[in-house]
Amino acid sequence: MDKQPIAPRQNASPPGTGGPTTQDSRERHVVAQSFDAAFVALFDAQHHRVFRVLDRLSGDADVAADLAQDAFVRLYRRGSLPDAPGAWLVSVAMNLFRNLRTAKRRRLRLLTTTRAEGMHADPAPSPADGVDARDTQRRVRHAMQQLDERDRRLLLLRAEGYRYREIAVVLAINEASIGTLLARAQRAFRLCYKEDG
Amino acid sequence: MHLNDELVQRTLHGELALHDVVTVRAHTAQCSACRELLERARLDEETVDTLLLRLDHGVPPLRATVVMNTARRRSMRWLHYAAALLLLTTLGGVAYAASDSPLPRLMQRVVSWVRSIPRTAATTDASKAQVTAIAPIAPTTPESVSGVAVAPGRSLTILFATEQTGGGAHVTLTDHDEVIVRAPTGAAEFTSTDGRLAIVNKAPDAVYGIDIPRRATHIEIRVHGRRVFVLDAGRITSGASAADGRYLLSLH
Repeated sequence: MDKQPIAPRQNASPPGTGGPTTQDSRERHVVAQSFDAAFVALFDAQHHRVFRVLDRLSGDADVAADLAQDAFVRLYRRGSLPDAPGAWLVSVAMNLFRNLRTAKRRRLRLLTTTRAEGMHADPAPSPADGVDARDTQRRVRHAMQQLDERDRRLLLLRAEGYRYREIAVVLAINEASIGTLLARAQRAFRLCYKEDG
Repeated sequence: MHLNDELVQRTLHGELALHDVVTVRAHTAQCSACRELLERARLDEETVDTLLLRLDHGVPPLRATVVMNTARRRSMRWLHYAAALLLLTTLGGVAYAASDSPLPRLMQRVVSWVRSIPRTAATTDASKAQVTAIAPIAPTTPESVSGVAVAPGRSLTILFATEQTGGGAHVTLTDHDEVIVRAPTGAAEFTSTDGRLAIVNKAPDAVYGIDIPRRATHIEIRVHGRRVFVLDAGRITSGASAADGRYLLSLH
């Protein structure tokens, strides 16, 4: 994963100086600007990935949008970039989703919703395609729902192009066995999908 | 050596270790079964990826600057909360400390009222047990008190070595984590070993204060081998009288 260590935004004054000097504030300004620039670049590169993982996981585009934004807000408030920002972001986002689901703060329709409307929805398919498309979507959601939590997240992270090292960090599993787990998850998914047809 | 799931997936995703790249390449060049395996895995993954696309909604149009502004606003909001809390605390302190302030008296009344609420622990077997009236125990001044604090662990037995002709023990249930025993200075010697707190009580009329954690698993008090108080998983068994959530134990 791309390592982007950025110095913290807040720079303490040297001891004994009795407060910030003009030089200090100038340095802080430069550091803050470089952090902001790095953050914007990271946002542009990662936001759609985090959103898509959450969207597929939750089945609710609004929830996914909120949580993805929240993850980035937390990163910005952190004031510095972690060693593996991509893994950090999706980790935080998934934890936020888990907390949200656990607390039942909202009525989530976890991978069971067939909603495709709303402000983030794709253009509607033609009537002829609509029935098939909706049926396929329902079967995919159902198949995903049959998987256990780890397999579901594993599939989604891999499909979004996260590297094995990042996946190992996010799911807290051994990197050396990710290929095996992934193959099993794919088999389980295909089996569930076929059974539903 | 044929390719296993791990090697197949790593080959597909470009995650092979350097030394495996050469081995896998050499093997697949001459093994048609593994080439087929790889091809099938590639197709399977494409199928899964294509199906997952069906779940997608459009990515919302969000800009980094909006997120940054939200983050700044949230930080400011916490600062406001902290400032408001500080202000309230300061005002409360000033109001409490001011002469002729009714707050101290009000606080005292609230504390008295809270203490007067009967605790549920008092309505246990102790209420059925025979109540032994003991003489009111004179309070001791803090200067003349010594004591010991021990963690109760899973089980703790407090042993009074001898019976007393007078005095007694105040047992109070607390929300702390430790058992605390107080005694007039010089009236007793304490020895704490694993699961036991032995009290060699020398004065015949000494008064002891014993604080017992309400959440402790098992604590019992014995006087010269006789069990006078038991707290077991929140259930209290004692022949002592309970008042204001305190038990007055006789030590004779």
